[in-house]
Amino acid sequence: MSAIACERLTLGYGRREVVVEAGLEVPAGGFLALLGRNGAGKSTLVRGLLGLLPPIAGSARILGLDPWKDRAALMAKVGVVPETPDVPPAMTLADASAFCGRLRGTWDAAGVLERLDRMGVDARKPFGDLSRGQRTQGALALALGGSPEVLVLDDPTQGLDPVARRAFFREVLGDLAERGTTVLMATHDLEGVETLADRVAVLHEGRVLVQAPLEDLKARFRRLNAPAQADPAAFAPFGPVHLRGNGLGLEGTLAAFDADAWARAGLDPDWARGADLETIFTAMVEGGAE
Amino acid sequence: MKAWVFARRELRENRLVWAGAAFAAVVGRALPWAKGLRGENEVLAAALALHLGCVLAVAGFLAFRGIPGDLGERRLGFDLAQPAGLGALLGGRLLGDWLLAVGSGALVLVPALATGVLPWGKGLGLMAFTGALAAPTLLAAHLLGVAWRARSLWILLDLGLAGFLGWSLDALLNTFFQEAPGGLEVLLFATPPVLMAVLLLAVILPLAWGRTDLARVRRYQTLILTPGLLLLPALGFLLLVWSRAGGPASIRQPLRKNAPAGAWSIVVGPGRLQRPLGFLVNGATGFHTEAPGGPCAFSGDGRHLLVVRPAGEDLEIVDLALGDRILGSTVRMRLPRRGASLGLGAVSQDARRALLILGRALVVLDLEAGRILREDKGERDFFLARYVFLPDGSLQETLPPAKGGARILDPGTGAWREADGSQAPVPR
Repeated sequence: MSAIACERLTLGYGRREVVVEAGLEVPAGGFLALLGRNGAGKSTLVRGLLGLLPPIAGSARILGLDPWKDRAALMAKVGVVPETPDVPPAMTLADASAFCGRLRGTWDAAGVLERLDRMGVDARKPFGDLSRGQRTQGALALALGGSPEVLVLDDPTQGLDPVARRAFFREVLGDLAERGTTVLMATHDLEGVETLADRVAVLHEGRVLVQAPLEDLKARFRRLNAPAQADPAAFAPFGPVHLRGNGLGLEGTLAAFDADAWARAGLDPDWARGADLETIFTAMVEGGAE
Repeated sequence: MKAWVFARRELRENRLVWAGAAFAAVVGRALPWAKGLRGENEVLAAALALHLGCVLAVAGFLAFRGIPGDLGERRLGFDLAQPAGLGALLGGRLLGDWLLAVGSGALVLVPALATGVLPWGKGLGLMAFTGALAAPTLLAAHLLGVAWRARSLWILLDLGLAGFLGWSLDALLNTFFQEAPGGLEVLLFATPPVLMAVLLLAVILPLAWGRTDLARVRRYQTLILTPGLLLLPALGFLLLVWSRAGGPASIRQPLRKNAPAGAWSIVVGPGRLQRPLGFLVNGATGFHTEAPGGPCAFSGDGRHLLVVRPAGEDLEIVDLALGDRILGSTVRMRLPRRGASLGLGAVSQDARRALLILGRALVVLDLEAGRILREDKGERDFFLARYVFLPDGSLQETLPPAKGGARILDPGTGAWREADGSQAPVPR
């Protein structure tokens, strides 16, 4: 059974539709990176999946529960790291942990403090006095305190310095390795998420452009680096995106790479190299590749 | 209980409110010693004003910036990420805010209660009243907070409706005053619970439907508030139509205050709510005239009417002895304690002296000279039936059975002396 699933889910504010007929599926233990430009609707989709926004149409299920109807029950199984951590500013993280513990049946208060200590965050300092990175790390520690089956993160590494970012991902990775938590992370941090995610969904102008295992995308997308004398028409079957010559050669992205067809066409394998997630994302969003 | 977890956090998070209330209490205590503000009544007035202001300000502020503030930021609310229902979340936070408002208000009253300026019984009654008032304030401030953050023009409709509600209730109350005074009580008793129910629904239901979608929450609020606020005038109008059509006798019964003796009475007559004028009616002859404005009371023998003028400063005594003729004000004097609760004990037969309870003091006024003849402070309750003016204008007090006997207030010296038994009490 999918841990997270939504079908033709439409969400918005008032009469304004922000996410249109979105479909997602994350198997239990999977890690979905939800990518999209600013204003693409990532946060709105996350809010809809957490039962914070009423669906205009369609349906969503997390762990078999309807987030809109069963939010309270669902939140006992879900950990949330919001884009802007909003623990009440006067509360210390130790107090916040005690507060969360009172509302949940299962709560690892010692684990929260231990995790905060490991990340170098002062649990006795008011939340409002913590830095941006410390707040996010604190929110992650709280989100993991209830041993959630699903972890939802909304652009958590935005504004974090490289060290804090690495520490953040290390904690997420540690939890994944330890308990196999299902993760949905909306993010712009393509580099950070590339080594963690096993599935990617790209949201563009409110619609899900693609949702696929990362490996499939990596197999399908290639970064093209061919000599200047190469015939651009030869790349047409491989979904060329942003193909341009710069005098020294041809550069671009191939969105429909097929190794067998490439070999049959007599093209040099060195011209098509593995694409990173940023290349894939850019090709989809800017170049219209699907 | 999850609601209590949220309430506790609200109390802890806003603990600075207590410091503010303590400061207000100290200011309230110190204020009457400022130039021109002296005396027990000033202390009491300052304490009451600070109490009411504190409760309403705390309730309004906390509810305005509370949950709608979290939603308004359109963040993933920390509270909404907890496994707690909306009822627990909203109820708990409102309960916490309510406790803060009422508690800080109580703190402001402590000096007045401790020093005896305000009796404990009255203090508790006051706290119960402001506590009840704090609940709709919390809800209204919450609604206003959502409306403010949603930046929706629907707020104009809500404010217009609230204005219409105020105007229509005022008009209805005045009409009931004139035509069916008994229905006034029905309207006054029905209004608070109906209004409270409308506010509760307008807070809870939109959040349940729209949650963090403020635009939707706002729309639903207007959908609930519009018929809700129109419901009260509609009910009042139906009640009025019913009373005009014959309704039950209890609705049509006029408000009447009868003199203890004699034929005079005051019947509520036409006039706006803010200026409730009545008719002074002689039941024996049918003579009637517009009653003087302001709180008034008949003397024990029904012969005089004492009136406190609307400003609350002047006392006027009206002689009703001549049946169909009002002699007009025979005496006017400035009340020694402005704003104090007034109770009329008795008026001498020559209307030259009057016995009043002003606040917690027994005051005998020499109306002719415009001065206080005697003032006995400190007692909380006076049994007015023990006092009677004798034909010579002196005041006799029948002492409690434990002491026995009586004593006389000498009108010349203003001092009490023991009655010698030759002066028989005159029936009131």
